[in-house]
Amino acid sequence: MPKVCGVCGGVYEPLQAGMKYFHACAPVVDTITVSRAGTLMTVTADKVLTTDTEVLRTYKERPNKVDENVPTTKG
Amino acid sequence: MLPPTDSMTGEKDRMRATPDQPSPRAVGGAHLITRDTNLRIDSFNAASGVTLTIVVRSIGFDGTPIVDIFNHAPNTDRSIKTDTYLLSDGWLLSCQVYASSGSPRRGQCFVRVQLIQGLTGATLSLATLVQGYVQDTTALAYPGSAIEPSTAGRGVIRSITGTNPAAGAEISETVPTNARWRLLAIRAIFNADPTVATRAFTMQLDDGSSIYFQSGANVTATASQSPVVQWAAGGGGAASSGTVPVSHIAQRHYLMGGHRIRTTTNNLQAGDDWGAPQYLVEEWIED
Repeated sequence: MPKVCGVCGGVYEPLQAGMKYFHACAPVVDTITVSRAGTLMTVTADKVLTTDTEVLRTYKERPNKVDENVPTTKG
Repeated sequence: MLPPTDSMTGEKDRMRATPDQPSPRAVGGAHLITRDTNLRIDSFNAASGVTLTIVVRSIGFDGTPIVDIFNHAPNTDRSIKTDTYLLSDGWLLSCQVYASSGSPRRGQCFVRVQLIQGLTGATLSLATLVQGYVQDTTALAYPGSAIEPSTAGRGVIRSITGTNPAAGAEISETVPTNARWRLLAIRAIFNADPTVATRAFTMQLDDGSSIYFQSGANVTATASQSPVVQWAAGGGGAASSGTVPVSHIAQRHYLMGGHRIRTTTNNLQAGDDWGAPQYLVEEWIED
């Protein structure tokens, strides 16, 4: 039975071929560097224009991210 | 003929030991099991429904043959599961571990069986009897089996269906704790919304925060297109008409627990939608 992550909205099967699947939310976009009319600038995702040419995306951890993996016992 | 020395006399005495009074020579190679010697098993397992059976054959100090049998149910999330068992006093002759239920494959169920001094609290490891992967068709045995680390040899081949991201989100798959992956291939379908922009795709590997590898796909998408985007070890090159292009990753990308396989999509729109990735990995226990 597929599960839906309440944080990121991702859908996944918790058990596959006799093995557990451990969901972890993807990071979210932090900033995007675009070329706008020949000038490079860094903006947030909601400020990107459809006429911009993307150069670089940076990401940050999603707030309240889900990570179903068991904690590691090693540092 | 020389008269026998004391040591030679002692040798003859030991060789005359009767079966009901076994001597150290009579059971050479055996492990001494005293009241304080116990058996400990540590397991790291990823397969469901596995029960391990440990069979210990020994001979008591009074010459009685003894068979001790223990069952151990490993965890299924690769975390360590430890059980300690009381052994009968005597001389341990053999030890065998096999999967009495479940069907673990090589790379899924790693066990270490050792003799310890003590039972609880501070214990001392005396000897490792067996260490390696157990399958339903292959046992680990003392004496006989090699003491091998968890990353030796071949692992299990897994085809995994990852998380289907919500619209506007990227693919991100995380290597489970206590697993080591070798990434062989990954494939996903990208559904572009009607926004006019050229989407370009990059797969990147990171250690949980820092990127150590990136590979751009040799396919793009414009408005309302749905290309298959895939990377494979040794792949690369443009597609000919009617075929699916394959983008490159290295032959040996080994990923530790917590490392991630992600996409980053230039010009990703809020209505763009990655499908669930399907990927092939070789997996080992990384304890």
